[in-house]
Amino acid sequence: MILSSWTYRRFIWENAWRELWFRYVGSVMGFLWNAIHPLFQILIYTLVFSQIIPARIPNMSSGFGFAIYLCSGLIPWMGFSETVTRCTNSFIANANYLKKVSIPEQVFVIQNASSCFMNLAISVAIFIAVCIVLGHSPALSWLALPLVLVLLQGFGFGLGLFLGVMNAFFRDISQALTLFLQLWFWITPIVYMESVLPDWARGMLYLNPIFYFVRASQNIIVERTWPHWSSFAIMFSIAAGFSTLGYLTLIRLRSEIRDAL
Amino acid sequence: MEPVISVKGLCKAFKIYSNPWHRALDWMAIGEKRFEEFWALKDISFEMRRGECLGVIGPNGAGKTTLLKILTGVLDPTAGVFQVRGKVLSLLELGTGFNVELTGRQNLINSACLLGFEGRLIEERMPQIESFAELGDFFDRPIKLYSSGMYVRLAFSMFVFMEPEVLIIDEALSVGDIFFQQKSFCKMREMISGGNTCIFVSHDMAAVQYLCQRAILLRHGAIEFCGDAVEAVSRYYGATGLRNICPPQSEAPFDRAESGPDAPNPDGGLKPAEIMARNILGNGRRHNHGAGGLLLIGACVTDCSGQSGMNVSMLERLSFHIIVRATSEIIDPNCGIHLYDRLGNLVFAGGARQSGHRLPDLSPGQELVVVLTVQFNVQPGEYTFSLGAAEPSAVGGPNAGFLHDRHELLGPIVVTADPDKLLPFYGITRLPMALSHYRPVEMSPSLENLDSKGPCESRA
Repeated sequence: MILSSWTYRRFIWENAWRELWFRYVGSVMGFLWNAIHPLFQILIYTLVFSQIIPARIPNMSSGFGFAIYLCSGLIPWMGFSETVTRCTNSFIANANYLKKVSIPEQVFVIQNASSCFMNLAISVAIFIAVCIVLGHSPALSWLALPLVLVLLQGFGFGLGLFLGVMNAFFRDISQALTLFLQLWFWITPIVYMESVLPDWARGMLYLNPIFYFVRASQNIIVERTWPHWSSFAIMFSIAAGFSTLGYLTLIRLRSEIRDAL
Repeated sequence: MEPVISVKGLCKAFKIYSNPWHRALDWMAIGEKRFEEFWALKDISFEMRRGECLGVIGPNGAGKTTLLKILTGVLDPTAGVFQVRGKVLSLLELGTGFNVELTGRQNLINSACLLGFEGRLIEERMPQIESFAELGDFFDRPIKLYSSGMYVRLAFSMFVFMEPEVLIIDEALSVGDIFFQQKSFCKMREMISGGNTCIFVSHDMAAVQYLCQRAILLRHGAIEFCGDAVEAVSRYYGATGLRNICPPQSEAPFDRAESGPDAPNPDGGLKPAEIMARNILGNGRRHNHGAGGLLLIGACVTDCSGQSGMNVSMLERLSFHIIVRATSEIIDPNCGIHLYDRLGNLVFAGGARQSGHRLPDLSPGQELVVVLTVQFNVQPGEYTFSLGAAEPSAVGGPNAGFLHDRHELLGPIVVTADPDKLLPFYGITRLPMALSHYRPVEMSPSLENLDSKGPCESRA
């Protein structure tokens, strides 16, 4: 699968990149909008949670503490949910190509995942810049962030690939997914702290795969600590496990996908 | 020489699920299979050698596109094997990768990548493509500004210069203006003679005969005929009119001795059983309507040699043998034909009454065979026809009829002409025309001649 996708690397790269350029084609700011959107969002959260509803988190003196906590979970989550959603729809959205060209199916999933990753990278870079401006000084642990994000997107890609294959047959999946992602967002400690949960719920968090990624990101940025190696091992297993699941599903059902589209 | 394409026993079945979730149950092997199979292709086998051009023809839904999609690797066959040596490129897939925001040049690079070519290759060929496409400044403008003809120019130019070993061309080529069509046909012939192998799928039979030596006639997913392109085309037309009708007895060899009890045929016409064996009247898919007092039981079409068929040369005749049966008392029955051209214009309609032929009155249960022989003084092309039975109408004057039964959309009748010979006329139909001539200096004496001899016909 990797080999057959390699032939299409230029197609994947150019289209993923072009998407960033063409999303805002015709507007004066053009490409800059890719940066303005996340920047604006981060500034809004910062303003709201530092000035209007001042929320504090323990061990942090900065008034911007909660905003930073929120964004350090929210930005990876948004990257993840965008990846899953777009990968899930990638076969349907590209049915036109799949029905006419003998291009490997996964190319479109990889292209969507790459484009989401670029978006996420832009958002994170802006967030880091905002943190520094707000006086939350960088730490060496932040170097671990790219690895977490890569694993996160690997998870998103694997899940998206699996759901994408399924969605080719059962169109209900993409509809159900939007609902499920909302639920998933609220059962993950992103807008609230893990500590506010009752004990039984806190134990359940470990069954939630996205929790490991969100917590790692929050640890790295807010507490400036390296995640424990075991948490990397878990994240790696999740990413690899879901990618394998997606891959096996694709192999198994590959011959039927185009018939069903 | 090794075949470039070899296809053996290729089958393709689509699974049709009434409920998509049944598929999931099948995956988990719960209960028996819940899908209906639709066999789009059944046991297709053929081989192609280098430099050959194969036509693929057949009615809509015969499996032409499915076959192409399997050959280009878009769909997987359900059974059978195929092998293609070299890169296949299908015009079907060109233009699908075009992004309207990108310029022609950018789109070519993008499409080449989509088709799995190295980006370098197309960049090297870009100057040739640019000059072949003749798009001028538009080559570097976003293709949302293109007309549909320019779009095809771009796609076809790319197709030509990617130099596939096997080209697959479908109807797409008939877009674009006539000049580019001619240019692309020329280029295709050049490519074929240059050793490219080509599969040409079209409803344009003239183009198939022009480009291909061999053709496959597909029907209901199976190869009905594979061989000489001209024969394939004539079989396609010949069989189209008889489609979905052929009663089982038509397969059996017809034995004249067995039809002894049939009504006598004083003028040596076809016996009712012979007509029924070649019956062209539909069994439901065709439209028929009318009051039902006089029914068309069966009909067949024969050419001047007495063979079944709807191919006729210009100015030749076809005979329509129609069996009618009365279900009530019918006075002065009429039986006739309507002929329509490909645009739906009524070219001609006429029957017994219009020919001044009085058919005998019929009482319930009586049958009559009516033979209409029509000379096709019309231009070459495809025609459809309808057959009907009627009585004079009680109201509405002499041209009104009371319709008892009419079968529409029969055919097609194909009128042909030998392209190497002078056509006997041009236009929709041949009107009776008289011609005379004289020299102006001999004017006064020849006037008498004209009166005595009269005008003579242009042709015997």
